[in-house]
Amino acid sequence: MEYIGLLIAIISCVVIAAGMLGISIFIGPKRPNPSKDEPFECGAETVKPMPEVFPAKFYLVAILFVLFDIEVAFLYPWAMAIKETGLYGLAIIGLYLSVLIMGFAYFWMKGGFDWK
Amino acid sequence: MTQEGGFITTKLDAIVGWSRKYSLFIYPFVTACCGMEYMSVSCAHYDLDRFGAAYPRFTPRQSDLLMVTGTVNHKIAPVLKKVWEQMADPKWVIAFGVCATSGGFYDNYATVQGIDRIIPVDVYIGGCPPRPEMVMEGIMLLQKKIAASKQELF
Repeated sequence: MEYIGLLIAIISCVVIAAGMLGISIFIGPKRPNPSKDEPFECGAETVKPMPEVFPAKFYLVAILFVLFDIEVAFLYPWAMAIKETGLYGLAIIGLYLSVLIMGFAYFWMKGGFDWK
Repeated sequence: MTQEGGFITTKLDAIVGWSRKYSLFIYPFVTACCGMEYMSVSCAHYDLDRFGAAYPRFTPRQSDLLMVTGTVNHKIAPVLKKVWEQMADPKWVIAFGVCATSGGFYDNYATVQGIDRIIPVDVYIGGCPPRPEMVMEGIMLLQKKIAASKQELF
């Protein structure tokens, strides 16, 4: 019986909310139109045809960005632990960088930097 | 009583009108400097909540009162029309300030000369910009109009 007040509060909340929503559903006018079925984008048109052609060359830039981004992300922890890891760390990061540099050189030789 | 059930219909109309006039959820369609005036009127100093009209909803699905606050040019006109179309019925429109009312001093090719060329307007508030007292008077006039009109039901 200690929490009877809480129970009354919960029940009255549900009854009041359901009553207000119910009255609104029951007596509110319903005038559907095509605009109401669309999503609301602050009044702007939600769907429109793509007018311009997007250059596919940009995907190379994106791939290159991923390459260097990951490289830098791995260089940071190595730089922080450069004293602890010593020569072993240097060898590992050298191996890692050589793989990436091979990819970079391949990209360069293929003419990836020439913006044709 | 001219017809059966006329009394009940009238009473329902009055009750619904009374509820509607005190629960105006505003969609602020703020396009220009009148928006500053809208901010001041909807904040604590002028306490629009005592008219039941202080609750801005930023989606038209939940709002009854479209406050067109500021200049409407021809580029934004279709947006205004779409917002009005997406509002739930019943809905009312206030033209806030002279630009929304008649184009104001923007008597040029770019500006819509009054939003009533696009959507129906219930209350026009003059002023460039209107003082908050004028806005409150406009809301009170709108409430009178809502209470006096035949309610849209079902």
